[in-house]
Amino acid sequence: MNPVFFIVLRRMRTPLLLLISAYAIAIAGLVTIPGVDDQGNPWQFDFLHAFYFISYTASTIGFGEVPYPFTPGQRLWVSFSIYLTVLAWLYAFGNILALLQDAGFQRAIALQRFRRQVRRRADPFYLICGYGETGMMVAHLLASYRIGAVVLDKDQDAITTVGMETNLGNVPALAADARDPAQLAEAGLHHPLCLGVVAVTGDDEVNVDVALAALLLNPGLRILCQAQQEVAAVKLPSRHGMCVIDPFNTFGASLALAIHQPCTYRLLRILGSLPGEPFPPMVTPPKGQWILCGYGRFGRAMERHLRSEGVTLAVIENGEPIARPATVMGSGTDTTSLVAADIDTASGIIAGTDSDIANLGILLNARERNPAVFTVLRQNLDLNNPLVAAARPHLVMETSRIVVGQIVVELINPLLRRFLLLARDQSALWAEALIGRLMALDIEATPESFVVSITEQEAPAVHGALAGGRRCGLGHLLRDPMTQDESLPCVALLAEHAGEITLLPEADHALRPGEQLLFAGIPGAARRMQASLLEARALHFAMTGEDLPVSWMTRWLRGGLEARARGTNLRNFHPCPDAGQSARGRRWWRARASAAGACDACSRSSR
Amino acid sequence: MNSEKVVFAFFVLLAAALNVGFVWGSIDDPGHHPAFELFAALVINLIATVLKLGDRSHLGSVLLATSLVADVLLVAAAVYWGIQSQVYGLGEASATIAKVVSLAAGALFANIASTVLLVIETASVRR
Repeated sequence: MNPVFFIVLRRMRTPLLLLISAYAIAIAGLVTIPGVDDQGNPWQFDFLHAFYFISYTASTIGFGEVPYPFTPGQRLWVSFSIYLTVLAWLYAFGNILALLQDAGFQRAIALQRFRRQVRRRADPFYLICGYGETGMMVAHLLASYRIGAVVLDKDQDAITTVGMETNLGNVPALAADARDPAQLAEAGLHHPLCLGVVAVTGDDEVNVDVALAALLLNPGLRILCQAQQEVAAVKLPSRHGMCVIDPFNTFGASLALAIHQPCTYRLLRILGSLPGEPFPPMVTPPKGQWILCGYGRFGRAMERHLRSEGVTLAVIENGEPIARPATVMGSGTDTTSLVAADIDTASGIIAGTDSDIANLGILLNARERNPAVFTVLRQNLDLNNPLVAAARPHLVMETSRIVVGQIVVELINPLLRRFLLLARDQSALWAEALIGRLMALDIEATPESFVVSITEQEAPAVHGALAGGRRCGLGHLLRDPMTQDESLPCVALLAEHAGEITLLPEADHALRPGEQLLFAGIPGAARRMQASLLEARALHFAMTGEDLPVSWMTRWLRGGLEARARGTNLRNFHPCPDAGQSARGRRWWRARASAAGACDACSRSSR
Repeated sequence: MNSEKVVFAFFVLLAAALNVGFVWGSIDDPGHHPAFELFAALVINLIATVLKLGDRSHLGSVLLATSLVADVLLVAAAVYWGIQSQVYGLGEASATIAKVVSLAAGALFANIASTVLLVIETASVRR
């Protein structure tokens, strides 16, 4: 039985006992004390009337002395009973109210509700551990893709904000330590619909613990864990489904890429960032001599990646003295330390301390001394967005954004992940050409990438046409099924069929059943393509430019006319079996088609 | 000596004893079945029930169930008697008394079961 019920029972034991005793004493007294009726005859309360009288007296309703006015003896007893029963009621009520406000009781209720919500989940979900900036962004992102989430955070305030979010949908949240395997189990780690675990608490150690626990307890799960590999005490085993997100190294690697292949870097940023962000401008970080402010975990990661690009680094650090050549002790926010690190000749500066205000100060000071310097700013808190935007650094490294960007690619769009990996190895010209094509789509913000699977469920029209022997090309999907002359504002990035990958497939790329296609386009392009994917009529229109008749009657009439015009028997004619809208009609046409054998109506369109 | 156990056993046994006292006698003779004894049996049974609340052990749950059975039957007997005497004026009729007593006898069986369970529980504790 549930624990809340037991807490109530245990706490209500004394008040209930008190109430029962008070009532019993009052009723028993009332029944035994002799009274008189309106004629002066001896009369005594029976149990029904005694119970009735005590009930309304104890609840302070007070109907008066019924059925007959009381004798002094009865009044004496009733006065005593009033105090007894009313006090018993007050005590019971006070106890109930105190129980409802009891923190432990409320926690028990919250746990109870959380368990019920998790148990009753009917749609797949991810378990998000940690509801800081990153966790919050991940939850919203999953919600926008209609994927469920369950949130664990050890901070009650964070959990309260989950409940106040209006556009998250039903996200069960519990204040609990994610390192406790029992709590992970409560949060649905073993739930058959649990897809995976996203460990994004602020602490790398905790994240690694959670990832390990999830790996051991439910090996089938996807696990995304934010952790810096060199720092984590336990190295996570790399296996299928496990993904360690290391934002510092990710950023370091992309900065290195930006230095030697700025076009490719820009392409990855356009496609890899969250949809709807401003279109990233071209940045060309120079080589030469750079200044690095802050030599913590971030600073070290930067140094490693920049050194491989042939950049020389001067470090400004105000913490403990470090044994490293070309290191200046200081904060970097003052001109003295910047000058000591040769700001006047530096080509780039990385403001990488863990304080946003200090980083902004470094940036402004550096720019004052050397306006041409390339600036990279580390942003720690999302709420400083307005300040960072106003300071206009060339590049911003924001941990939560990097983590979320990687989570999108990992969880939502695995095809995009493959594309981004392949795009890294392409030439600068290739990247530039693709950026040109994306910009030609006339978009202000970063494009939305979406995947189309040519399967019976997701693209019944295309699948049906292919199964019916028609040839369907990628170009047909890219045509707008509403206007035909126009093409949809999207670019096909990648086609994957049975492990075979085609990068940037052309319009004449023949579709095959089971093929997966990755597109990038303006928001809404995916929805417009849906028509060709789902409706055979729309697909037919996109392919041939002719409208199939909607009603059975027109179809029959037109079919008869065309057949007669071609001098064939009406019985042998059938429009494409997938042309009809209703399933029943389709079945009927199919049955006729198989009865009539091969027909030329279907091959006509592809001719 | 555990005072909680004393109180607990006291009420369980008192409930059973009062129940026996009420049922004892000729089944349809109003003189043998005082209303006050039914009232007392009902109240003590309710108290015994509340005392059994919150015990999560298996035996505790069964004890609670027997008490609830006795409560239901005694409340039914009291309500039936109340309706017969107040609404129809048949409170002293032998048919009414017989039905009330048979309901109370059902409650007595539950109370005996409860007592037996109490004895078993007590016997199983070696302290």
